Amino acid sequence: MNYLELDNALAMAREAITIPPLAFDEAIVSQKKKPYPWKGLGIAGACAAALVIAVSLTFAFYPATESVPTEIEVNNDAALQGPILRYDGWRLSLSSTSGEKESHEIAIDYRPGIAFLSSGETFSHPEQSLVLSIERTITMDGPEQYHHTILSKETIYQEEATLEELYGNGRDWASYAAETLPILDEVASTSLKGTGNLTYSLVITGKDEALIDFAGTYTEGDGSTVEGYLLGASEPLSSISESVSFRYQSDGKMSSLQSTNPPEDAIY
Amino acid sequence: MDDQEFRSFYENTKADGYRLAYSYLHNESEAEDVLHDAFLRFYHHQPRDQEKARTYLFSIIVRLSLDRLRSQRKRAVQHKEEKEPASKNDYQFLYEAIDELGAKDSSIIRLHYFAGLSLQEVAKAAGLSLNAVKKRLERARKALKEKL
Repeated sequence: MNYLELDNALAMAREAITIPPLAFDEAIVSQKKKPYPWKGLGIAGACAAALVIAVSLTFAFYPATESVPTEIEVNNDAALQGPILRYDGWRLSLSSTSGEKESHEIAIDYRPGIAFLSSGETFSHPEQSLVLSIERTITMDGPEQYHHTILSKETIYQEEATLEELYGNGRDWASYAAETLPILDEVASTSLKGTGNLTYSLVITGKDEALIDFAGTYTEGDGSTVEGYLLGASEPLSSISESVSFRYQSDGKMSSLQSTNPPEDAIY
Repeated sequence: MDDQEFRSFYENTKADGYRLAYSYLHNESEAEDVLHDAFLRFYHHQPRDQEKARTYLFSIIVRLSLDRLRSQRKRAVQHKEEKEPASKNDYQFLYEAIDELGAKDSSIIRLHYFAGLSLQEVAKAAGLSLNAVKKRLERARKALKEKL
């Protein structure tokens, strides 16, 4: 199928959707918002209500100024300033098993259902036996001290083969990766276990109700190990990082941020 | 937006909104439910900028559709239910190929081709830059072309 045929198919699929008679549902507009309680009281009433509210708020928030808040509400529009989870995708590496130091790494740029293998690597000993391994790397990306902290690096697929077998004539790497990578999806969806150097506790919660499935926690271990699991994750991590909120403690204060708009490379 | 304007907005957007929801759910009654819920939410939380109304509504539809798909999956896992077969039509193969794309890429395909949004509007609805949308659309189309 070429692009023209694809566009035609998409346009026809759109037209093939039969629109049912969607009558306007009066119930939508009948559920009016409650009117403001001071409506009808007049200016004097509104001023009195405002005064009562102002006084109440002053006393309600006064004690909080002396204690560290335990939770800060996540603001949807909060700027991305702190650490975010970055899922680096899969890395396929080939290393020599002959004891020689020669080793090479070849990156697979993985997207669901598609795999690309970068070219340009040259091996000088085609007869060597090599270990092909695919690693999953998840990093904590953020400003300054959190920059590129590796949370997890796992080898999840390994195969020993000769270079000839791996790179033999006509080897279809895209198909090969496509066959292999579904295994990786499965692994990615079950747990997130990491090691790193976080210096404070980090709590990850699904902010959106739709992401409740992915709620999990990272708690500080001995200062060098962080472990956590995404509970009941049923999708690849790639889609989780899109809107995960973080609450973290630093210098005795609880902070909060949300990665609603991670950089492009955070998605895979 | 007063009630009269809202009614007119409903009439003008319901078909594209329904197509968008259907492209996710492949089920007529589910798509209708999502559309109804989306308009309800929209009515009670309208954007200040009325120019964004259409993209805002469609972003609600995307979210609600994804929520519904997630709870379907969760329910299926918890109760080991068989997935309810989707409505079959001649383009089932195309829907399946779109479903297999990543969440964002498939959303872009759906917003552009099924909801009829321009790329600028898709960028607003998906919260991405125009360049990112173009890049993703190109990648998604390439992936679909190869799959099909």
